[in-house]
Amino acid sequence: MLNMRSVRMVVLLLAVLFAGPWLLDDFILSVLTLVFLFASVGLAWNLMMGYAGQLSLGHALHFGAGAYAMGLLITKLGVSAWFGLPLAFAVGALFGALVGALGFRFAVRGVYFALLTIAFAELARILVEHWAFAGGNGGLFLPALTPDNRPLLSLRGDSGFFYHALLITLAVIWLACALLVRGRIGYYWRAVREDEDAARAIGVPATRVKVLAAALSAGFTGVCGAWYALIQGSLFPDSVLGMRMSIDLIIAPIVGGLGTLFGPILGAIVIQPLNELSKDFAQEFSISGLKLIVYGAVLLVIVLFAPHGIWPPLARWLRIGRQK
Amino acid sequence: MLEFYGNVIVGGLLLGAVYALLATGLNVIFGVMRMVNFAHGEMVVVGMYVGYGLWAWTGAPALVAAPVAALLLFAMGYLFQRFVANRFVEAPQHMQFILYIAIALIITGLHAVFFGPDPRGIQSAASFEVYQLGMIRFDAVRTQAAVASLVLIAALWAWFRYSLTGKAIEAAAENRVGGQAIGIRIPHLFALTSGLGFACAGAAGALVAPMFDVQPYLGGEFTLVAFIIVIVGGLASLPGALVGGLLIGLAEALAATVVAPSMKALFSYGLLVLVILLRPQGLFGKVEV
Amino acid sequence: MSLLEVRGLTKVYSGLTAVSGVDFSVRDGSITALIGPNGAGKTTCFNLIAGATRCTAGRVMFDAQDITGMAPEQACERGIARTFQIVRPLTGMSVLENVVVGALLREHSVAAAERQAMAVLERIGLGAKAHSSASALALPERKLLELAKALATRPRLLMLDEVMAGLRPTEADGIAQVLRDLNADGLTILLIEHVMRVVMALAQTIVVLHHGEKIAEGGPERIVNDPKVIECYFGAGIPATMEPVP
Repeated sequence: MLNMRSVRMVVLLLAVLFAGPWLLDDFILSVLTLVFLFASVGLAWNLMMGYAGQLSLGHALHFGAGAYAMGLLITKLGVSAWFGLPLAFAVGALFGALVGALGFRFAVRGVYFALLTIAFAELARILVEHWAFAGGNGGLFLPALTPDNRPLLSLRGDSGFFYHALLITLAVIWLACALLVRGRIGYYWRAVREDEDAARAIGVPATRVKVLAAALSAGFTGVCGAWYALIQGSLFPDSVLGMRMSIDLIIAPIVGGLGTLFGPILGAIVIQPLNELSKDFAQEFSISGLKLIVYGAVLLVIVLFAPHGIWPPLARWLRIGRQK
Repeated sequence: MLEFYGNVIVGGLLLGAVYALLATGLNVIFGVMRMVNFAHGEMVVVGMYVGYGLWAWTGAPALVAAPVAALLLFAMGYLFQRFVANRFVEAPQHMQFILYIAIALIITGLHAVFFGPDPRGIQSAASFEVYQLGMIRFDAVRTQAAVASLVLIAALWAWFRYSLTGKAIEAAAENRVGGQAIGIRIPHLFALTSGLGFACAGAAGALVAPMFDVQPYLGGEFTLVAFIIVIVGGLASLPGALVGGLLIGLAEALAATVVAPSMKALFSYGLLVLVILLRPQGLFGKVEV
Repeated sequence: MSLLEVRGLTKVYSGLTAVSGVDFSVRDGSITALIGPNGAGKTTCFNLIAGATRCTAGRVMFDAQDITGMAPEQACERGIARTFQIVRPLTGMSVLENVVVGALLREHSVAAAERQAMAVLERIGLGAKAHSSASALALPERKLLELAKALATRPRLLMLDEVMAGLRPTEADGIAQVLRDLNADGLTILLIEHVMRVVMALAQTIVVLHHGEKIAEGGPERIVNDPKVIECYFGAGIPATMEPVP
């Protein structure tokens, strides 16, 4: 997918987007920031599902791990937030590799693997709820921003700052995924997804390759979790490690399209604003649960009429990428 | 001390029997049809609201609400399977997951919209009745629910084993093409199966309504408990669902008392992990070749 | 000298003995055929040698090294490539991409692997279809693709499982010629085959399996006249002649 036309489009798009904070109001900036965040996680999750073919419904584990890693680093150790990002990646990747290795070593596939990931995420959530050091159920609160706060040091600032930060994060993760997918590992991932036994017969080290997908996917997710902690300023195990978050994380890539590099981004662009709109509408008319109905309806429409997501038909219409 | 633990154990086992009914419903859908019904818990909640609604409207007890809920959910399950889910029987599992998650989200949302997010409790005189047997107190509501559940499970068990339709369903699940070749009406049978599965969930919900305050967001927990029981007990194994349900009910009751109420799920999830890794066929299931 | 040697190869599935105490060896640079009636255990042997299934007992020696119990990808790395009886193309990828996956075992960069893959495809005559989707190929071409994927891993031993099945005589002859050429270049080949024409034409050594046991091993002439072999194929008392393709 990295032909010249795509690259030119992407660079142009990035340039336009970078000008955001000088053109858009705070509210739109914050919505777009969340779009970038969920697009990034979507791309990360997509590495597992779309390329290595393993369904993870417990990605909140890695998201929460990264978030708490960053949170604890800042609140307990007073260390600069910059260290939190590689730490979040490492912690996430570690959990991803562990869950992956366990699952693959015991040949757990399909639904069972998905349930395994849910179990691990829930176990983590329950344990953190009882972990006083991390604030338990009461939550972990990042120190309030002082007037002399330097965003480039603390990695926390106004909506314009977070907008740029997440835009850069998205671009970096996208680029990393693009390079991986085009390279040797991408071939191996696709081969394993298509037919694992046939792939192994021609020398593909399937287990190693799947664990790598799990680790990378989780690592990137961890970094996004770290940003989430910085943006929110507070963390609660129920919201960041819960099943609701796991589902939130995967809606965008499914709606947008699995196994593609633009699908998760498109999905986030569609879902996040929908999210905001339904939240506002619900608050306006004090109806709760509206967001859930909207999410459910969108997912239902997609799974019934566009099971591969909205991106493939859109890409065909725009005539981008190879004809399959 | 003995009396205290005795009561905890009995309470757990009674609830476990209702869990077993819940799991049997999932077993029928997931174990027999292999459809990943992630909306199972939401169907329980529908049953709970039916139980609550009937009580609020007419004062009807759970034992009356259960058949009503069962019928309603049977219809929902049948129609859903017939007109939507049947297309997904051969679909990859992640697609099935998404389908059911979508339904779960919609139902939870609808509950929140129509009933509001606040918990609703059934407060009736019956809630406080107790049967005394020696030093053990049997909570009347729980006992009735447990007995009703066991009856329903036994009935379903017998139907699958001895009725022609029941056997046809098992045959069709095992070999779809073969089944079609000898004239079994697959779409209808699967719809029937789905209806039965949902009906179990609905009945369990109505039976459980007097025990827990009903709110829209309980679905997820029930779904996970059901999957844990089905996997620990063994796919498509009715004794497995029964034993699993009792085991989980007991474990949760003990964990809640001995450790902490919020830790009760820890044991269940831990058990799930161990079973998935070490004995995926569960206690009574068959090893898949 | 033997490139591959199996000793006492045994595989028991609960209650069913698929392969029992099979010994044979494959000489370096030869074409050896593994034949026998359906259910004789030939594919099981392949699976045991290539690591797709664990042996219940027995040893597999490849290039004088014990490779018993190695995973398929490890066996491939050592130099054993196998094809499957029912071809398994990677359908979501193009023909070239399929072969690249194999080539990546020996090449470090994707570009080098693509060059290698293209060379393999040209060699066996699939070059023109390099960019077609693997799912768009007809059966003979799928067989060639299966072969190409295996060849791209630069094997020393190529194990083919009924590669001729379902092909018309001219198509089968085409592949047979390719195999002869590869063998002439030094590739050792072990093939499971039912098409006797091809076996007689290609194989220098034939190993015969029946009910999981080896009942004969030797050159084509000897095997063809071995009464045990004739009996297992045709029943007792019926003479048979199987003439090679001229």
